[in-house]
Amino acid sequence: MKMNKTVAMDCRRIEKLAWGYMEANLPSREHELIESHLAECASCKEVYQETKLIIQLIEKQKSEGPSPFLASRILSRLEGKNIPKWEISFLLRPAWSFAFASIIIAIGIFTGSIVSNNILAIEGPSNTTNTEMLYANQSFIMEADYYIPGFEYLNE
Amino acid sequence: MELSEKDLTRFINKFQDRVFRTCMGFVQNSDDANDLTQDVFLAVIESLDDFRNEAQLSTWVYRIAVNKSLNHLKKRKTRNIFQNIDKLLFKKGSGEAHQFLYNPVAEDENSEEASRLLNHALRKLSQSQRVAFTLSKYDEMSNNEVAVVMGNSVSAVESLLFRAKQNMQKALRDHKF
Repeated sequence: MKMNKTVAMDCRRIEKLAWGYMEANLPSREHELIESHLAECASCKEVYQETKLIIQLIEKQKSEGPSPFLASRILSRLEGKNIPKWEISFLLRPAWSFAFASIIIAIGIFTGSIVSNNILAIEGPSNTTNTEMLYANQSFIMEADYYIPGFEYLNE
Repeated sequence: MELSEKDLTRFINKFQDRVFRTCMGFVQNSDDANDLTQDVFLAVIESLDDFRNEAQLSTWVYRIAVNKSLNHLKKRKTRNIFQNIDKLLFKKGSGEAHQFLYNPVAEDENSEEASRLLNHALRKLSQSQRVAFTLSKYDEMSNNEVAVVMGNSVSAVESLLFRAKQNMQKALRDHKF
């Protein structure tokens, strides 16, 4: 599109004033100037129409409100946050984590020692040979019904 | 600070419309704006103890809303980059389902065009221009109120708004030619 110098210069000025024109915030002289410019400049008119479109969209978006359940959702999220927050934070504290880990290790050691004691009870003295241990284990399996943990050598 | 459920409901009801509009101005989508409004109130309620009476409660709430919205936009930008890479590499998401999921819902062609134009124009604004524009146009704050929320002078806000509108006009003109 070919524009004369005056129209082109006006276009830049219109760009500055257009928003005010659309919001009806301009003095009447400038308002008239824009109206006469828009009547003869197709490119400015197109931009004006697009700007009008987005202003209408903003108005439409502004008329939308939040969900009617917003407050109840926030309150339920607050409740949901409070309960696990306490439980999880309690368990995740370093001191408690260390304590829990220590307890689990202690239980493991205790269980391991009982199991090894029970096996020793069947195996007999530590200087037994591998063959003797094998027989002892077999007899443990066979005599398992009579074995009571803690009462070593009961069957002897 | 311990607040009863009734106090919290009253507090939310008082500010929810304006916080929602602020979020809407940034994210341009009512579902995202609703989620973001919830996040804003959770952040506000959880940090009520930190609130000092140096600023008005409303100013403080809007500051949190603006910060949350800007963070949301940053995350969305990063997500979009990855989605575009994903699309480029695997040609995924060209179907209707993808259109439905990732494009703002538009009721008709006219509002779809308006939504596209508005997003295009808003992307051309600097962060501070966008904050000033949103608070002024969506929340209908006076320049003075915008200045208080942004921690700027009134003249700085006037300048930001003027440049924001000009940049938007320029974006629309460049978009055409």
